[in-house]
Amino acid sequence: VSGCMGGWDARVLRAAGALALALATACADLPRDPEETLARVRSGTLRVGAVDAPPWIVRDGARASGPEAELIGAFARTLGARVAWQWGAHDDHMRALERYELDVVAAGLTQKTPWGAAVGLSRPWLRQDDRRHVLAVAPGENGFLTALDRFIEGRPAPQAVPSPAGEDAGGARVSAARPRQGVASKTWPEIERALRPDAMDPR
Amino acid sequence: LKTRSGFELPPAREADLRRAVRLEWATIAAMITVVAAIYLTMGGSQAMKAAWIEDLLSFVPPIAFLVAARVRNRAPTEEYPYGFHRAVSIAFLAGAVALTIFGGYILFDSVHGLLLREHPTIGLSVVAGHPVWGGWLMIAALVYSGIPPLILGHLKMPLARRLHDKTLKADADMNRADWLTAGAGVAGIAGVSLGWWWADSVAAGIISIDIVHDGLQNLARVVKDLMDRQPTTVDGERADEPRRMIEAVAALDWVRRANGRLREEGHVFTGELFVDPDDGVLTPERARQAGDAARSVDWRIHDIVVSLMPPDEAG
Repeated sequence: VSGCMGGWDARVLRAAGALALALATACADLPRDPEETLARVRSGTLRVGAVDAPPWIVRDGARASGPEAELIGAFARTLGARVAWQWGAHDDHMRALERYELDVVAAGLTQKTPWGAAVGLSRPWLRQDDRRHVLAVAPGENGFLTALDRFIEGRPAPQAVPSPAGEDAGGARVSAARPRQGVASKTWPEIERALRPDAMDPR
Repeated sequence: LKTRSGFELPPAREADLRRAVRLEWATIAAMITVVAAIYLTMGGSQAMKAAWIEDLLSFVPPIAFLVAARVRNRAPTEEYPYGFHRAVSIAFLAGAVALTIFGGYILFDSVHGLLLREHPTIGLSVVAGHPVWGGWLMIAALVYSGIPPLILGHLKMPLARRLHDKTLKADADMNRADWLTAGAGVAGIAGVSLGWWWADSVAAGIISIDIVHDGLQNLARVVKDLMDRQPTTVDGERADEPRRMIEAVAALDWVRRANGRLREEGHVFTGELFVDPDDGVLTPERARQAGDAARSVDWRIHDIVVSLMPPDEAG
C-alpha cells in the first residue's frame, strides 16, 4: 500500500463526493423506508399494536383512549389513514413489529425500554423528569419514523404529565415537564383537552 | 557489565522526530473532538457505535508512539545493557494488534448485521430547535471524523519512512483505516436514506476486510522483526543495509573477507561483523575502522560488534 494518494484512495474519495452530490439533489423525499411503510399507510391503514396501559393508553371495548391513543389518531389523520387497533401482550406486539406485521406499538413505553435496540423508537411525545414517553415503530422504517417524529415535534406538545397509573387521575395536579416553555402545572382534564387535535392551536 | 553506547539521531532526523511527536499530539487532540462528535450523533445506531469504538482504538498507536519516543533514546543502563530501542517494536506490536482487532470487530459487526437482517433505525433529531433527520447529522459527523486522519495520515507517512519508524507507519495505516471507514460510513448512511438497509453493513464489511488485511500484515511484520529476521523497510521490503555494510567493510585495504549480520531493534540496526584480516591480526585500531565503515553506510546502523571470522570460515 503506497503512502501517498494511491489509486484506490483517490477513487474512494471521488465516489464519496459523487454520492454526496447525488443525495443533495434528491434529498427532498429522503429518508425512504426499506419496507415502504409510509407509502402503504398513506391513505390506507395504520396497524397499531396496543397494550392496555393506563393512563397512557386505555382499552375501551375495541376502541382506545388516553394520550397515546389521541396522539396516534391525530397522526393517522395527517396521513389520511384509518387506525386498526390490535390489542394484545407487549412482547407479542414487539415481535410482530420486528416482522413488519405492525406499524406502531403503543404500550406506555419509555425510552428506557429494553426493546430499544430491536425496534425503532420515536422522539419522546411526553417528558416527565427522567421518563421520556415514546412510541415503538418497525425497525429501519426511517421515512415513516421521521414522519411520526416530525408530527410529534411539530404539534404543541402536552408538556404536562398525567399521574402515574393507580392514582386518581381526575383532579391530580401535575408538574410541567418543560418549565422553560412556561407551563407551570395542569390538571388531567386540561391535558386531555390539550391533546385533542381540535385544541392544537399554537400559542 | 558493559553497556552499549547511547544512540543519537542525526540532526535532520531529530527534527523529523520532533515533528512526528507534534503530529501525534495533534492526532490525539483531533481524535478527542472526533470521538465527541460521533458520540453526540450516534443515537441508537449500531453502525455509528462501531465507528465510535474504532475511533477510540485509534488512540492506541499515537499513545504507543509517544511512550516509545520518550523511552527509546534512554541510555542503556546496568539493568538494560542493550538499551531501549526495542520499545519501538513493542509499540508497533501494540499498534498492529489494535488495528487487527479494530478491523475484526467491524467485520464481525457488519456480517452479524447482514445475517440478522438488521435494519438500522435512524429517526429525527432536533438541533438548536430545528428538526433534522439524524442520518444527515451522522454524515456530517462522519465527514468531520475523516478529515483529521486523512490529513495527519498523509503527513505521517513520509516521516515514518525517513525515521524508519514502524509505529508511526502503523499509526498512519490506522489513520487511513479511520478515514476509509468514515467514507464507508457516509456511503452506508446515504444508502440507508435511500431505503437500502443493507448498505451500511456492506460498506463497512468491505472496508473492514482491507483493515484486517493491513493489521495482519503489520502484525506478521513486527513479530518477524522481534524474531530478529533480516531488517526490512517500513514498507516491508528487505533492506539492503546488511549487504552494503559487508561491502563497505570488505573494501578496507587490510580486509581479505568480511561477513556479518544485522537485526532491527526498533528504528536502529545492530549486529555482528566478522572480518578476516589479510595478516590475521585484528588490532583495536582496525576494529574501530571496521565499525566506522559499517556505520558510515546508514545512520540506523548502531552498536556493531567486530570480531575475527571463525577459523573454519576464514580463507
